[in-house]
Amino acid sequence: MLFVAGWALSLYFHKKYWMYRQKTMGLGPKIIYILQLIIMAGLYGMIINQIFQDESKDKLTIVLRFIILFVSNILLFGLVYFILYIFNNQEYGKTDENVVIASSLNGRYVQMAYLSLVTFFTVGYSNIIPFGIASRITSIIQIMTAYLVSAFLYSRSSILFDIK
Amino acid sequence: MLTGHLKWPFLFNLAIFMAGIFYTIYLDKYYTKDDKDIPLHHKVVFLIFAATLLVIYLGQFYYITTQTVYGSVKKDKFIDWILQMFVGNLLAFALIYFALSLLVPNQFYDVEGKINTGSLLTRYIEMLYFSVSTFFTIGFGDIVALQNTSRIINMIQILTAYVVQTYLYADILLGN
Repeated sequence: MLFVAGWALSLYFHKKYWMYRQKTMGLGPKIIYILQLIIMAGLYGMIINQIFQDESKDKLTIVLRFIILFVSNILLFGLVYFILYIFNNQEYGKTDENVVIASSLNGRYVQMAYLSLVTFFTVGYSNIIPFGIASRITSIIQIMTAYLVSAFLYSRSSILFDIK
Repeated sequence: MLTGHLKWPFLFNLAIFMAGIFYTIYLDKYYTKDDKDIPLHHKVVFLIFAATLLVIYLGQFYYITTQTVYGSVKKDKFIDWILQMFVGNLLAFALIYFALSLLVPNQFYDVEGKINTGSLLTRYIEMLYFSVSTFFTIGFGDIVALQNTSRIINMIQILTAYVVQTYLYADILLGN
């Protein structure tokens, strides 16, 4: 619930600041996004901690907890990508001239979540790519955490599919 | 966190990789961005680093696939296993790609042509990024292998990645 609250907070913020169409922002919104990032990172840590200590055998509980874990990972790293974009608007590139990249902050926010999702599930469409060093290091970290989290789900698959 | 007796090869790998980072910073300080200005012995050092990492990794791989039984990847050894088998692969191949791109020109292609003009540190991290996105089957396609040598090494990495990951799943399913 706390995580959903954090996400709603982010929606509110990016609605509030979406008129900042210039490529630069004041310090205030940046600090707000960073505070939001800190809160979401803390919540993500709590979720991970809870799941690693969890010995539940209930299928629905396991599935729900992993969905929460996946979604929170995607949104957390989407926010990280977005903050990197706020600080450096040359951070991301595209592979094709035909690809449209959103010019508004609103659209950017959604596109960064999209990049995060495409990375998390190892799809890699590459219509938006991390280009600067900071975002590339971030995506390295995300790929590895995504793999760890997915492998942890597979380790529970013997419970999910009743394998004895 | 690191419990097994295989931790020393991994720590050695990591140390060599960090040494490579500092070495690129050193080279950035004294040479221009053009590869031709860098003397050959600096490039050979990176090749030796890469060969060392690869030999250590193959040794670990052989040990784990032949000398341990299924079901050895338990909860407490999971991170340990990942560090040894995955991160070892990533670091070794990142170094090989980097040494190759130094020794032979135009081995890799970046979409916006930035890869051969950036500093050596940038290229080092780019090669790590390429290695990670290859290993975990992401395939962004912003950096691609362009010539025979790098393509063959890329294929070898994809195959080893597949084998290692399949081994992990089999281990988890059969062991539990």
